[in-house]
Amino acid sequence: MQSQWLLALRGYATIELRGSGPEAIEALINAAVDRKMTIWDIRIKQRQVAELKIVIADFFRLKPLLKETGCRIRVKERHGLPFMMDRLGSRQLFVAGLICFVAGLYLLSAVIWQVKVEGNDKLTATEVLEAARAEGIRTMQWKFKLKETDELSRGLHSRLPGTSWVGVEVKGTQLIIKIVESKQPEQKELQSPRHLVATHNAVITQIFADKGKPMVKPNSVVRKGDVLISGVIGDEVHQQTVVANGKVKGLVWYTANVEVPLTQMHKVYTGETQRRDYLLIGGRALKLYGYRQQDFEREEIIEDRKTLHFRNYALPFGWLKERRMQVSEQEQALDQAAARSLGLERAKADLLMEAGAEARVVDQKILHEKTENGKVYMETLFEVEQYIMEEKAIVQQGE
Amino acid sequence: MRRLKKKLGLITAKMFDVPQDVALDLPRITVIGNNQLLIENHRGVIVFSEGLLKLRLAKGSMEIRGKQLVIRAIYSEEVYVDGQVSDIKYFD
Repeated sequence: MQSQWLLALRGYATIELRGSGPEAIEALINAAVDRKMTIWDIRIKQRQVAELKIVIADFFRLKPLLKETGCRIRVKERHGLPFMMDRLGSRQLFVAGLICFVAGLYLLSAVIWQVKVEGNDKLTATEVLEAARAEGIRTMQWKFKLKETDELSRGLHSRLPGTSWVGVEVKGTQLIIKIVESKQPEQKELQSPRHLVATHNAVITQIFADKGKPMVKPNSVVRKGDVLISGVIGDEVHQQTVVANGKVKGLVWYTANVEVPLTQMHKVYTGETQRRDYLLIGGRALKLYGYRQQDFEREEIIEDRKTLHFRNYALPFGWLKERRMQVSEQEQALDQAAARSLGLERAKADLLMEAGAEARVVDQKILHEKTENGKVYMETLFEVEQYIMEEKAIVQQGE
Repeated sequence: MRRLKKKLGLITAKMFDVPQDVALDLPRITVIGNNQLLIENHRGVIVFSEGLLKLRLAKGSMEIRGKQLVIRAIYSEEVYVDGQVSDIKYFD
């Protein structure tokens, strides 16, 4: 038996057979089977009237057999593609519409609908698109009018300076231009001519001029605002202003007033902890564990928050674990020496923060010290070696 | 001569344990319930009506009785029959 699909493709008909004699129908069936015709679903409706299905090709071969056996036929139903095509023939507008639709679909898919630029950083997309337009790449362009992609990418590459590679790819109705820009050295900022001047009163220890004329020597004393490296070079006749550049280090004195209490408060964990777990839904937290716990009087809370993620999206669900640790404060008494060293350490740290990079304390001296109201007061002198240069623009005076 | 051939076929069928329908021209009938039939090795239709299908065989004939008999498909060697089959008779 053949599949319904195949039969529908070949086309078949339901026909009614009328036999003239008593065994005419059987004779016809035998004759048809002998000639290898495809007939099926044979049923007798009444005496000498049968109904059967037959493939179109065999239907036409049936005619001579009819005469031989003395049967007459009548076509009752037609099925399958050939008949459908026949029927379509009479609906020309419909067929025309069908063809137009298919043709339209094909034509629309043969057009570039979108031009995308990827990977451009310094070049703007408009610049790239303009170059692409010159190469014939634009929206609503026929795909078959475009040159080969490697030719296009070569053309674009020559049109776009500052690219080290250009790739052109047609993806359906989309054209993607991929650009790799060539790396170029960073441009230096433009600077106006300047001096380097002292930021503090200091004794110079080191001077190193990259550019400009050094005006001071090591061990010379400078006051705040004095020019260290001059941006004006040359003699009276041949003068030029430059961007002075260099490094100057000097000894700077600071006096610091320090006060240290003789009793220090310390936070100490008592070891008592509580755990609480929350389920986070949106902006709300639902407490799941840790009911009936009394809050500590003083505590420190450590939160561990976990949010559910799907790929790159954060979902509005999460879990919050809280550890609450009891804290108590303890007083610690310091003796005079400890308080003093603590104060000095703090003062030094503050100072170095202020003095900038590569500063170091060369010397320190306690000028004055007293103990009053449970605190140690100190006045200390620090000698710090640090960078002391500062930029100062040269103002050109009108002639 | 024909008889000799038949005898030879019978002997080979027995010797090689081949089913007899292959060696000799015997019909093979497959019945599924009482509503589907497959007859292989038939030699043509003698009578066909709604209640009766008579088939010619290599030797003799067979008769199928029932209701609403339909030949689902027919080829030179086999017949597929649908319908409510009540009798299958065999005539030598």
